[in-house]
Amino acid sequence: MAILHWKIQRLSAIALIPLILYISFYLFNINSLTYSEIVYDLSSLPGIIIVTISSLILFTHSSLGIETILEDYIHDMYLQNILVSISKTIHVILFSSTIILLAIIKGI
Amino acid sequence: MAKFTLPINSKVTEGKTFEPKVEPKNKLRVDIYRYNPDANSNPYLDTYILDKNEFGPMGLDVLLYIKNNIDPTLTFRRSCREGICGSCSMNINGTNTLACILNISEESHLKIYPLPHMPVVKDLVPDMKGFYKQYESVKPWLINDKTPEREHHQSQKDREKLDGLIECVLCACCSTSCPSYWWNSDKYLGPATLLHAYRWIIDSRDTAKKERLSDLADKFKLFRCHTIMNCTKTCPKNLNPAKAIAHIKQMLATE
Repeated sequence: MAILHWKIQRLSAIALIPLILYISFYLFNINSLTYSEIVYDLSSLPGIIIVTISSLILFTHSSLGIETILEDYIHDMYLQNILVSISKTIHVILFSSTIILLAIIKGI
Repeated sequence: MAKFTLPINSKVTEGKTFEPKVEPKNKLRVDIYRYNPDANSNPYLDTYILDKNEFGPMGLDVLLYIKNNIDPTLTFRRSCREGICGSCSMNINGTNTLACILNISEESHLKIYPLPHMPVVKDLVPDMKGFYKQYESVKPWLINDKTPEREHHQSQKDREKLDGLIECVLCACCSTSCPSYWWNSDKYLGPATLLHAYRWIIDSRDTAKKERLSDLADKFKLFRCHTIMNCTKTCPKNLNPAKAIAHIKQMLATE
């Protein structure tokens, strides 16, 4: 389990580099786009795939990172487990919200 | 829960200042952490004003001079005085090092503390029990059921793989410089122990590689290493424990 945790953390970090660069580039140029163009981008198939994959990788990486920090500093196992569960729940909610928002934009 | 403040009885207070009768020509100010558990008081920082012309150029020379000429109660470990035994490991001017191989001839002010985040037995002597127990836990000996007539043979190439690992003298400078080890020294094995674990994992004569690796596949024993690299930076023998740890992780991830 520890090895899987470490592997996913590293792989997600590597995967985030191009995704964050692409999203940052898009956001830097967002002023040049109209509202309908942005809505079109987010509701198109490539847009949905990019946002879904990016948020999945981002929230997985963030969840694993926060879990590591909690394991580092919270030595009370009971409290540590509670906080890790809360963190995981928040990350699931954040990912679910992203999917729901994409569905709303798409008009499903 | 991690504690972010020191307990009241661990705060370092000001101690005595030992000044020479005549003004030193080549002045060196040395602040040394002192703690006597029998005195039931806080640790304190004693200051010694010395003349560098009166002793040798190494950190250990300073300590021996103070102990022999000024304050015989000063307590520290030392033995070989040439960086082989690892006894005189301590924190000098913010860096963990071996006092015997640290050249201080260019310094004008030394601050000497025991290795950080270790229980202190007295003055500069840390309690190494936990550290040695962790070292023992990785079975630092050859595991091979075959009994050869004379010795276990090893090719030159396989022997070369152990270079940079067998030079470790277990001074604990690396482990006690690691923030992960500070927070979780009860569960995380630390760089020195992991370097030695790796030394046995890659030894061609050892037959317990799988068992050794599976023993380390634990989120605390090994994976508390966050590649901070303090271990490599501080190692007085210029070894690279961080690289050894990275190799163990790589082996676990790929095998």
